[in-house]
Amino acid sequence: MKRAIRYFLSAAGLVLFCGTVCSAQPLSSTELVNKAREYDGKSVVYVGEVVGDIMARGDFVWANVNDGENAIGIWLNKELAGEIRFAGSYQAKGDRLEITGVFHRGCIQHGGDVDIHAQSIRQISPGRFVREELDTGKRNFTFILLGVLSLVLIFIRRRRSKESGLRTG
Amino acid sequence: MKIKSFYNVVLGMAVEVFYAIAIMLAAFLVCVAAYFLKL
Amino acid sequence: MILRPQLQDLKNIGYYSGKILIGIGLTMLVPMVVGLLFAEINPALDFLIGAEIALIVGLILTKLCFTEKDLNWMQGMVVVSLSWLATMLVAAIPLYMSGHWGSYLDACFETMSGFTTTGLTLVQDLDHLSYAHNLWRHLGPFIGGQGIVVIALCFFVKGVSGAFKMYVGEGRDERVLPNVIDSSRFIWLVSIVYLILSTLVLGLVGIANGMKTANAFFHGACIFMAAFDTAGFAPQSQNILYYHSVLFEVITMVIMILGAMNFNLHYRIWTGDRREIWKNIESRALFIIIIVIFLITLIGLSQVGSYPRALVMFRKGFYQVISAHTTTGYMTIYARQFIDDWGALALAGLICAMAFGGSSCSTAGGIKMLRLGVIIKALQQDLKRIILPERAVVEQKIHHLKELFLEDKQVRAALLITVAYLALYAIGALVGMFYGYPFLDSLFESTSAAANVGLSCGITVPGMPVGLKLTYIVQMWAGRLEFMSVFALIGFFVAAIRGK
Repeated sequence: MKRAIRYFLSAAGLVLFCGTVCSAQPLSSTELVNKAREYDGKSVVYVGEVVGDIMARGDFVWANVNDGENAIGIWLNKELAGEIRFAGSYQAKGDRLEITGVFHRGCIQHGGDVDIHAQSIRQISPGRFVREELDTGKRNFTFILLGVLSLVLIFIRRRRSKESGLRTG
Repeated sequence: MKIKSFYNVVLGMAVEVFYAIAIMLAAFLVCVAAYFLKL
Repeated sequence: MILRPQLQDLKNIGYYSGKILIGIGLTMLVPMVVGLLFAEINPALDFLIGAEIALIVGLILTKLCFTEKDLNWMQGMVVVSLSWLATMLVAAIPLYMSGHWGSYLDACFETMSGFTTTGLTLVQDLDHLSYAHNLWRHLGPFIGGQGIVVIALCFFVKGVSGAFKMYVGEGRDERVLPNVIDSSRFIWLVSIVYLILSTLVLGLVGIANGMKTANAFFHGACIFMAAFDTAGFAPQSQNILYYHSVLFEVITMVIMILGAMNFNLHYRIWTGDRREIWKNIESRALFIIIIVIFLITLIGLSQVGSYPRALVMFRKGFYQVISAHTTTGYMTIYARQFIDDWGALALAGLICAMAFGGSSCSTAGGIKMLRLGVIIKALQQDLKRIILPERAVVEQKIHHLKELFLEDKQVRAALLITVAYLALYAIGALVGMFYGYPFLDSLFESTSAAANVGLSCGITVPGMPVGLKLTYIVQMWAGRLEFMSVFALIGFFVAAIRGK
């Protein structure tokens, strides 16, 4: 009897758990933009990497978040924004965030921009600096070409001095 | 090439920027007017 | 009887093309230096390699084809069209090496789009592109908008009459100053002065908006180059939407309009003749036609109900209209929204704006205001002829820098090139439809390419069919050079094959 109750409770818990996670499936930026009217004004979940600058505007902040297809502007208050450590660029991988917030097709507050007003964010993976390694193939190719260029320049100088030599001679 | 007067250049740039703003202002007024008319 | 091209023709063409390639190679050192400054080693190498290749090819050409003879019309035009193709190929090398373009063709599409100041882009993962590569994307328009040949004229070319032929071949048929080399220098003066001012202003606004200082000024310079040269590239994937800033949008609108003004007009105004701005047929036409088209677009947008507030209509509706009309291509909406939020009437208005374009002898593309002005005045003249008594002599005046009488040959020239543009828009649209895209989308994208605009409704993506990429490349090239040089190149090859 106790076992049965335990099993029942675990199953119920599992169903509930699935329920909350499944109903909060993250939407891609393409889906959000393509079905903007459908999602306008609704609470959505969006996952992506913070890119560019995090731009402070008074008590709030703009963070543009790119999910690999497009980037969408996220409007967050300062406390939420404080949790963001890295923003993506050439030399950094930005924090990967899961954002829950209200999506707008044409946000009146922000001049009609497509944006998400974040209610909560959760960091999925932290960002980091990306140190680039010298591509030795490119470096070698550079030197080879430098050699060719020098040869061409020498060749041109020689022809020129020969020609002027002929003229004066 | 003769740019004789620095004053002319500065004033010239001002005129050009003014022209651009005039276009934008006209458009903005059209937006406002349309908003009021539709209401 | 068509004569075959002679050795002297090849020599002249090779020599001047070589000089232009050397110029392009040297300019690649700029992004290389920037790469080093930001400690981007691999990008710096990409540009060093690109520069080396350009210099090698250019030097060999100038050496093999050395000539002191001046250019004739055909040679001048062929130099222009050929060197634009060569530039596209060479400039694409560092971009392709960055790994951010799916293929070398994609990189060539990007450089052709940049140099022709179009702005359609096939870049992937733009938000992680190095400063060096991003700068090169924006330098392309800055060089190409003023004119690749124009640069060469400033520094390299000595023979003045040949210089003029190349100048005209690059889509400018009026000299700003009597000497075409001085004209080229003036064009650069205006560009540099506005570059410095705008970078400062945009940089300060960027900082106020919350950007890091280095980024604010870097973006400022890039945005200016793409706005003044009516290109449409932006350093981030969201284009102008990235900034979420009214001030930014307003400033870019001003710069776009400045870039769409005739350089002759800039010259007049900067030398004291400020009244010209309001007598000139192009500045008047631009003003009136922009507002008229915006009215049409606004009606279309109101019917769909996408932008329910005046400020929203201005920042989303008008911004895109001015971006289209100046043939810039900056967007504050996503490409797909043109299809979903704009409706047919608004899109038609936008397509017209793109098709008409900016002023002649500016960085803008399209049919251009001078031609439209000439055609409208010609219509007026014909109407007058019908209405007035038969014996009346009807002279039509047109004010473009000075009072001119409208002559039939001007009307003919204007009409021919206008028809050529319309045909180009149509052909690109047909190719788009051949690949399965809907009519309005295809027409939109084709017009955007041929008029060097850069707005996209979603067709231009890395996965686009190869045939369509090639079509748009040809459209961007032919549109920027206003056909004549391209026809000259075709004629050159025809003569080579069929000539005696």
